[in-house]
Amino acid sequence: MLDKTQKTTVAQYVFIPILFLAITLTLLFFTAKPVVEPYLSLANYLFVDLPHAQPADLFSDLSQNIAKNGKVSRSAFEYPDKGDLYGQITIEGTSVDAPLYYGDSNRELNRGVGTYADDAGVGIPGDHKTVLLAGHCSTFFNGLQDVQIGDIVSVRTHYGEYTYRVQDMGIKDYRDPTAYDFSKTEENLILYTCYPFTALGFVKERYFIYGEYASGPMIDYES
Amino acid sequence: MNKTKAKNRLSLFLSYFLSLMLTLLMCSAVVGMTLCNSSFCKTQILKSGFSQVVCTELKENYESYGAAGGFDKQVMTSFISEGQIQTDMFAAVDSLYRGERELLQHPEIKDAALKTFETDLKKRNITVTENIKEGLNQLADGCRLDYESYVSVMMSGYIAPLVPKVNRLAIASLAFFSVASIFTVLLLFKTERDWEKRISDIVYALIATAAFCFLLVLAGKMFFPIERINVSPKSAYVFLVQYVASVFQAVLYFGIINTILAAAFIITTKTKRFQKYYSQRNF
Repeated sequence: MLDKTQKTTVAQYVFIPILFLAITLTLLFFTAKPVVEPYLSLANYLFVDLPHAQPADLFSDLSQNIAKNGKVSRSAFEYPDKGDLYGQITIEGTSVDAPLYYGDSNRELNRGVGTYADDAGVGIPGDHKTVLLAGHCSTFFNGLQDVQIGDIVSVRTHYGEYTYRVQDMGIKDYRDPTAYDFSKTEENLILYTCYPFTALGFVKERYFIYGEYASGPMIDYES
Repeated sequence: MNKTKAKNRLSLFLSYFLSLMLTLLMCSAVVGMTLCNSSFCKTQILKSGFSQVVCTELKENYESYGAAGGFDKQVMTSFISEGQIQTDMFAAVDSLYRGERELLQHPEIKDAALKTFETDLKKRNITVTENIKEGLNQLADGCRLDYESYVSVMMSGYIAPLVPKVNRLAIASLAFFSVASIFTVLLLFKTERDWEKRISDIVYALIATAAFCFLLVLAGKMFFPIERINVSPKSAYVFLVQYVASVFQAVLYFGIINTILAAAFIITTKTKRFQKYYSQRNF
């Protein structure tokens, strides 16, 4: 047991340093405040709410048809994040049969067909927008060279199945702004890849295929 | 009586001042040992597995370029290596610590890529026309640009001019706070004649500094969750997370050192030998 003197000594070793610490913190706070304060708001942009997540496999994990009366409720399925696998694209009569990813970075294009996601005017199937899908000409979209007008493009996703009828196709420069229209409010599909299909090195031309919506549940954002 | 009270207050004030000096000395030492130290930066590159992640990211990009440009994955990923990335990254760190703003150029990557493409086309019996040559040149240049962008210290353009200034400031403040701490201890010794009280005053300062270190680490964990930082690519993320964690680790070590010193002083003053020896020497 500690005697009274020892207790006083222990208390001194606790309370006096705490007092010192409090004074130092107060001093530092008022000294640093004018310098640090303008940058504090930046911290909101610097940090994300959740730890870095791995891309999900929505298609395999949740492959089901949840559509009712030609509609699918937005709250009934998980909207994909960049890198997520969320579907499969096939074009009958061609070799096109590839996994469909959200986002079109090199990672997605190495694994399948990518969905352009960096413009408010584009979306996923059922979004009432332009769906712009990209694939590499020597791998997943090599079969685009065999597509004919009238062919059916099937897109199966984790929230429904969609078909689009090929209306048009063409070769355009990669900088050509007339190659796509993101202001459309009716569902439409654009597929594109590098051209020629036997390209060596970087090429400037792209092969575009345009499809009109044929079937599939539209996403209902109201319910 | 009043004289003794005034003396006690002065020694307590000096003890506080010592704690402030030790805290600022600790901050300067951490900055000097971490931010201003190129070896520390290189160690974090090694610890974070930065080169491995960059190599994977670059190979992912090159594979994609190959799929667009008619080359297999094996061909596209054959002209870069983890070892080469690490060497070039260390060179980038040295360049940063010399205060150089510009990214290091790596024309050798373009040369290696072009050579690899041409060898592959030769194997495939494809004649390289002018058109193909231009495409290959652009592809190789794309690989070079990616390499230069990934194998670099992020925001080095902004950081580089600050490095020499921060370095000078850290050295100057390290020297200043060291001298100030020693001077305060001497002043404390002059003010306080009792050895036990002298040591107690030093112990208060050491414990306060240690508490500051532990609080800083705790606050860092709570309010600066570095693992949630929104930085890409992944290589930059792993490096930054490792770097910040190591800086906080350095602060923690300073806290532990201060605690050990404080404990050592307390134990020493409590030994009978000390009490017997200095009871005759207090003046």
